Amino acid sequence: MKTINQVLTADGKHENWAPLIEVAAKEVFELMLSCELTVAATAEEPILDVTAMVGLAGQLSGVMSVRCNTKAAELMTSKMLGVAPDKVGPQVADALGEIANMVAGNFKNKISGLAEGCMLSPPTVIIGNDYNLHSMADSPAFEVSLLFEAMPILVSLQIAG
Amino acid sequence: MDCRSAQVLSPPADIFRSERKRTKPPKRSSGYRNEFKRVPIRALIVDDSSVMRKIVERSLRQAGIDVSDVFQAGDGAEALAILTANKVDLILCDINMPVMDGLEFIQQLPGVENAKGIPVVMITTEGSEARVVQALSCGARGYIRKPFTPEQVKEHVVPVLAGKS
Repeated sequence: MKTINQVLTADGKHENWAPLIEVAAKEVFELMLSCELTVAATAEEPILDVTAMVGLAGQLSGVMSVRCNTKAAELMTSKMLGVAPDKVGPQVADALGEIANMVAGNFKNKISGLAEGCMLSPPTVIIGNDYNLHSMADSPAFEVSLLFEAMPILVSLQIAG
Repeated sequence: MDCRSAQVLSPPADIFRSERKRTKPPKRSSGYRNEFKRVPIRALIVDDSSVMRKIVERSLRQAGIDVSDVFQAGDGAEALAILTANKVDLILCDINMPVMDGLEFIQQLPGVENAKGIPVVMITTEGSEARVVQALSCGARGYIRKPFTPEQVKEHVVPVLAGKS
């Protein structure tokens, strides 16, 4: 049986995935943070110094990541905890990890066969932007640029080849 | 046995008491009867994310469920330790957790005196139908998929509380 990765490589029928990632992210923010994400106009490269990542393994293998700046991460955390932004502390990583986890889970549940055949790893969160990420995958990455309270968020899915 | 039938509404139990003054027949909403006033419950929330535990607790309150005490555990083993010393009315539990996951936790519950008959509702990002069936067959009484709204929490938790005996 072919994995979804192999199917993707064979026929490239994954152009609908970016909209699914967008919907998955919007639903998470709407339901869990009570706020609406809007689509960002692609302009200059924003500085995104908080990165939350969740690995996918099984029928689809890859990494789903949610990136934003510190201010956005603190605001997300404050909305999730129901406290003022200046009251959030070390829970930022926990909150961003949960967001990435829910976006990845929500995304895979929207694709037939993936809910059963794909597992999620525990989230990993990187604070800071002084790093280079080298992916060994040769498949395309799907990226969706969104705005959260006028601050940029980048949601991406890098599929392992 | 199809354990999913456990989610069907059962008659309200002793956690609700009747308000006799009401004259009109009440409407049914989300599977429980409005003429019954709630008595505060004690809940145990099990999730490896402290942020998610906070969200679940807030959602319970936003759902109109009167919660007097909330116990929190970061994994199944911590939850079992809490249950050896405390009685609760409801357990809300994630599946994917370190040390002891949610499925193993609910399998251990029959051996804990304080946990006997206490309903467990799973709250997880896991969307696999096989995992849902597995959780229900292990004894879970309901299943809520993340992300969720307080209304969805109410929809799943209130019937489970009402059916608790």
